[in-house]
Amino acid sequence: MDDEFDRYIGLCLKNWVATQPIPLSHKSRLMSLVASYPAHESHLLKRIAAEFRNRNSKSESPVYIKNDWRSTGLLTLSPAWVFHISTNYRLAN
Amino acid sequence: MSQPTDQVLIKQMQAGDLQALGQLYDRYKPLVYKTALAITGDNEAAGDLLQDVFLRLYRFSCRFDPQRPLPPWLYRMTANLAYTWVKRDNRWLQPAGDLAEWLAGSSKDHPQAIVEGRDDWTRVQQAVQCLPISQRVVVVLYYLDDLSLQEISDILDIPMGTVKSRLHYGRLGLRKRLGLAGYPEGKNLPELNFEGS
Repeated sequence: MDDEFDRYIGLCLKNWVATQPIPLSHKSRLMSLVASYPAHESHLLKRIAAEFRNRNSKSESPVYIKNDWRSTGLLTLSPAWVFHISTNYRLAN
Repeated sequence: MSQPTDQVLIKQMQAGDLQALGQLYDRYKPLVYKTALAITGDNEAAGDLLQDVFLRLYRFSCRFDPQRPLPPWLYRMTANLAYTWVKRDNRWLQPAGDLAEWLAGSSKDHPQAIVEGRDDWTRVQQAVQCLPISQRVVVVLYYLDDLSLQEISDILDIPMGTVKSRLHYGRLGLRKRLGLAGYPEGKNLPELNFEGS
């Protein structure tokens, strides 16, 4: 282990990052985006996935699993189904 | 007045409280932004990733266990999204001009001649950007965020041996790119002071 090298790299990286200003505008954008989401989208997602499984059709699955699913456990809708859901399910519920 | 704990804020957020999300954002914004910036090397991308991480935190908050600490989840999500960003657009390629300038500097500089201060910071940052993304993520979590090998292993969901291997090759890559490959370890490095907040 090279402690001096580690210290050097750590300090340089921290100092460089510290000189980079954090944008201020993102919080308002975030809040605006969040406010536009339906309250229980993830529950809706599960319901749609279950319904689609019942239809027993894999070719048009509305849900695909991202590469990072193991670490995040997140499911993501394919774009076509986002449109489908936004125009049907959300309005119906 | 004491600040509410993460646990309290997460529960409030799960109940739909946007203010709680805002407080968590203010609390952990530097952690996410700086990590994303160090991995991507791109301020705009880091800003987008910052927003995306907290957007996902809110969207999937109902699956989040308030008893578990929040920072590891934030690190994991930041690393995953940054990884996707880098892979998607081959962002590991530096702009040609920057690369040429950096190569010229690294080939002629002797470690003893490295200028102390901002030039060093930038050279190290550029060297980190040249690492393969898998090594870069480990290097950033280790050197910038001061996480232990075990914590990195847990966050990235990879074996400890893989973390050690990536860090080892990351160090070698940094030494090579900084022109320190042929020099005794721990020598000829300039003195630096931490000036960050």
